[in-house]
Amino acid sequence: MTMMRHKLFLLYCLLASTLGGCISQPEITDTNTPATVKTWGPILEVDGKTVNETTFLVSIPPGKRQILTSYPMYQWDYQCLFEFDATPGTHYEIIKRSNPQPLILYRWEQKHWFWAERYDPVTAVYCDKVKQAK
Amino acid sequence: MGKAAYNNTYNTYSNNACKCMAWLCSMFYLCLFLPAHANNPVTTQYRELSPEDAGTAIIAFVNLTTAPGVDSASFRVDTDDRDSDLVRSSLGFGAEFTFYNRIYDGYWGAAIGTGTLDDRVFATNSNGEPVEILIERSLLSARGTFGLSFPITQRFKLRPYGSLIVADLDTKAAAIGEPFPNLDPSFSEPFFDSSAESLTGVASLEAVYDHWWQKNRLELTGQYNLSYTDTFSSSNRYLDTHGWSNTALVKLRLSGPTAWESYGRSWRWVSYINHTSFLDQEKFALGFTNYFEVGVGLDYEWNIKPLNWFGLRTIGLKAGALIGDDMDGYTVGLTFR
Repeated sequence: MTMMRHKLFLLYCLLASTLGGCISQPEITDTNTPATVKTWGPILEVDGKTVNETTFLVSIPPGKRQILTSYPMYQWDYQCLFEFDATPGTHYEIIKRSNPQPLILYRWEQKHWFWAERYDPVTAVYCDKVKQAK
Repeated sequence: MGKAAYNNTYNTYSNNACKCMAWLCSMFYLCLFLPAHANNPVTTQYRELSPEDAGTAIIAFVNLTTAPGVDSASFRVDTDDRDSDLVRSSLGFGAEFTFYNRIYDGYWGAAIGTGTLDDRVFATNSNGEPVEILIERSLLSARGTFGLSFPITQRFKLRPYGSLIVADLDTKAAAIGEPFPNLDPSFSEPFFDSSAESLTGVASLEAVYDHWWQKNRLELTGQYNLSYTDTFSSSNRYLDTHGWSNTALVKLRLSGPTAWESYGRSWRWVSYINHTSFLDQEKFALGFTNYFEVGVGLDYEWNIKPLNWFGLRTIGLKAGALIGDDMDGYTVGLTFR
């Protein structure tokens, strides 16, 4: 009898988690909510305006945006310009990862407590090799 | 036929004749240098068994089944003096993470692994009498890795890292014949059934080069591991030992896009060839010292970021064949990169 109760409890848990996984609440986002961009190298310019302090995270208004960011390496640095359409309340990441170009931009979305997913890769408009800033 | 055309034809014939001669000569020299036993049956000279062999063999077994960078595989040795099946399975992952405002990145990895060995060795004892040893080993291990990754250029990085590996080993052995006739039985008795624990420290240096052309990628990795293993056993004095191991790996991997997509993510084909060399391992320890692995696979671009900490780019399936010195085998497995 105890075993049966345990099994029913486990079945309930399984059903609850399965149904819970299927139901999602639509997110309501204000169209003016800024998007955020996180980078792995310092952000140098946003929409052509120089960023004076060293920062790796910026909030930007929705719309067509440009971000110039740097990727320092031991032999030389890269500066890459990204142009993308920022949607309200969305998070973006510019990461260094082996690709034809040194940096790449992804839309970032938290899927579960355990992991986030990266979508919609955007390659840089250009990546210039520059002399290292000492 | 003009003189020039005649000369051309003559040169062609002459070149072909040269090639034929060169081929015949090379075959002749090859036959000269073929080992004598290729033509004549030989009596196998078995190796003389020593109690210290148990320690050497267990260090080699721990190194093969736990060394970072060595993939899961099934190995088979079938020679005159050995009949052996060895399986290494592991589930592991390694990834870089960023230190903000630093050029270098961090690198970490973790793995759990198992290894089994079913070994049948023919040898002689100190009196020259034949002995057959049957050994079954199993191992359960856990590995933690931490290091740094230095991007020298966009395409080339150096990655030094250290690993700590703990393993629990069980050995069951039996002998047909008297393996150690001149030893006191109390010395040779514990040679057979025993358990041991091992602690291994590994210093690794990895050099990674990758190159893209269009959407195809080539990755060339060279890796060197220097390991120190200490084994502890209260039931077998010969397994209470320590030893150094040097392992070198070279990996070449080609990948490219396919037309397949699942859930908006793409699949990539993969082909690879790896060479693993256990540089200072004595051949009698496991029956081989190096091997090639050739295989193909499919990678799914999952592109997730667990715990919002490190990137997991692909999950893949691979299958390959192993060809080594007196060894063959196969590998089938999941890959996480």
